[in-house]
Amino acid sequence: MSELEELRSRVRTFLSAELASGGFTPRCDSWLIGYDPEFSRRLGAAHLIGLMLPTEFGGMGGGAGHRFVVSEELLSAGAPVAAHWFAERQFAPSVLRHGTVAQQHEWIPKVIAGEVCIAIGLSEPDAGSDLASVRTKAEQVDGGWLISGTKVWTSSAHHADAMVVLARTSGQRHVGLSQFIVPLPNPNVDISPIRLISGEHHFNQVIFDEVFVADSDVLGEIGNGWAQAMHELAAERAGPERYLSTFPLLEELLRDLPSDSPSADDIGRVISDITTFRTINHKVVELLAAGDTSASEIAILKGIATAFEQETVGIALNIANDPGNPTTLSPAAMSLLREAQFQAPGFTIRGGTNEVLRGIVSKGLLK
Amino acid sequence: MSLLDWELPEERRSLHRALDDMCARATASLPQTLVDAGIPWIGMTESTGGSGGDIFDAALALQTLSSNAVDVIGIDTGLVASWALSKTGLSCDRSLIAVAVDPRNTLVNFRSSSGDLLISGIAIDVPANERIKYLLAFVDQKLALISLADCEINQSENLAGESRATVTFDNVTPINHVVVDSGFTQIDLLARLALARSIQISGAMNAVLALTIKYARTREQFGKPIADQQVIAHKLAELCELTLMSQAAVATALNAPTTQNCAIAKSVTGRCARKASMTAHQIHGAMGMSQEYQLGGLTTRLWSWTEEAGRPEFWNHYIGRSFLAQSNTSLWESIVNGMEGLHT
Repeated sequence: MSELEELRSRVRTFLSAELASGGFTPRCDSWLIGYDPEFSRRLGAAHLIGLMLPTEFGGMGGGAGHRFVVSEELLSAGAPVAAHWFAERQFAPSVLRHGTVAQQHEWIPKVIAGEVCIAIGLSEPDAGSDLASVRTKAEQVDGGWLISGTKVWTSSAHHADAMVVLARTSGQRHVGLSQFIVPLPNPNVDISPIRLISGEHHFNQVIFDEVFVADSDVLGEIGNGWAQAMHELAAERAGPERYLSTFPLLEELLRDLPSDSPSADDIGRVISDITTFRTINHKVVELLAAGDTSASEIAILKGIATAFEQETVGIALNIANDPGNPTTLSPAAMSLLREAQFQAPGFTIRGGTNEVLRGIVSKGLLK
Repeated sequence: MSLLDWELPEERRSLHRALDDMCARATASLPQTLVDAGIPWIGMTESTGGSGGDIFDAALALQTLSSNAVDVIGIDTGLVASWALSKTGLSCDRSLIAVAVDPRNTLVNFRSSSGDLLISGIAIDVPANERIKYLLAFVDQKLALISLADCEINQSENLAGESRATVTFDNVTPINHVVVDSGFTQIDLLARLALARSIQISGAMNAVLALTIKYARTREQFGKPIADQQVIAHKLAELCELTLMSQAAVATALNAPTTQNCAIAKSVTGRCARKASMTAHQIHGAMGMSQEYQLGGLTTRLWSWTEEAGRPEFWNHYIGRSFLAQSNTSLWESIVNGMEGLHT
């Protein structure tokens, strides 16, 4: 067995034990809506967080392939990973790349242990697709900065131990942006829910009213925030969470189908497409590991994979309603189907709309 | 452009360039030149009369020739026929071979009478002409090499004008045949043929993308190149998405050429080709409909190849049924196991 195969089997053993003991219930879109800090701690204790992070902080020091294997196993099983997902996916790598030694020692071991929840503050009321127009301001004062402004659509801010805030430190559109780590809670930070159409609370509006951030909490260099944020976005766009958000639903629906089910064609299509996304993802992971964050393949993968995720909701409804398949859905399948329907419009919006991504791709083609 | 070259390691580029050069100097004698250069036998070991090279070399040759919309006589000899021969231990001289296997079994109805093996029936859509010496056919659980001289050939063409003959057998004795074990079936041979068409599709799609980008940058309307219109730029991006998807599906199958991965390649490339051909024509407007212009030579190939060797719906059904037949395998395990050795 290769090292990666061993790792895959270790994750599967962990997940089977969790399922057997009722440790979690599979959910669609579990990297966004599956918030369970206890699960994240158990995962950390099993050394399954921070696969690419250095051993000096308690990480595994592995390659991109290690993280890929663990991520896809967790997501395909619908495991509740939202409590640590953003911390591991973009915060820790960013602190490692741009942070001070003190920041690295403060944050990275806690990320690896699955003990911290980090929110990423990018979007604003008037800065969505046009991210560079952020208006949240950071003004330099003695010993630090005063942040004022509003962030919206911030995932998990209400649970977060800290929020990374992209704020304007000068008037220049791109080079006038910088990143700050704001520990939470803070009396001058007001966090209120933006409820989704499902009624659930995952996103927030976060208002900063002259929040003091010490110089030691500046992330990276002043003026380098745009480049840092783009690096994080590349990591955010490039993972299996872009084609596996509805996978737990498909798995549940297919579990008890008869061998002569009329849904064979749909199943064949799903297997074909996910297999192909995995090949592209593997390539993209290699590109990212080599430091290429602007490759068109990243934008392409996110675009086509999320469009597919959205289509799987229709495929699932076809399977669920075909008279040739079992007529009653399990309660688990019904719950997963509702989650998938509620979450589906967001697949092609979050992390850069598919239209923004096509803009990136065409710019590369027409260079 | 890294996008199109991502599965093309440096050491293989010389073959790619040599073939591109040959196509660029295209004359009426090009088909014979390609045969003389041994192109149809790439992927077949030299010790058995082939031109050497592995599955990647054979794929690269197919892809390059397809991107130039060039017909190759005996195109399936190296990648498909010689593979089946070596897999089953059937021997053959260095000849051009066409493969007769069709998903519509009712139309390919071979019969072997007892005693001497005699084969009767009709094979359709066979890329056969007078230069092809043998037909490789799957009959019951036997693989048979049949001399085309013993058959009646009714020539026809696919949409792209490539030879697709109807071949009639009337109590024909094969030159050679072998009884194959149950580990090798007609569907395995068909899948390999589907891989060949998938490679051709991805090659032609590369060319469609390049041609369409070039057109959109030069064609001006409303005072500027149409590529400057956001709606056209997004269509170009969509074309690029479909092309990358096809390349990736082919890459998966080349790295692990199992029947399932070949089936996946055809499902994906065929579906992408349908969308890509229409998008490319839409961007080209009326120009793309002209016989003089190159686009039609590529899109007609895409349409024909998509329907040949099992259309995407045929393979989706096959993949789905294979999954449903395994009672104890989850969907996720099935996907990961299908790619075993690739990304683990």
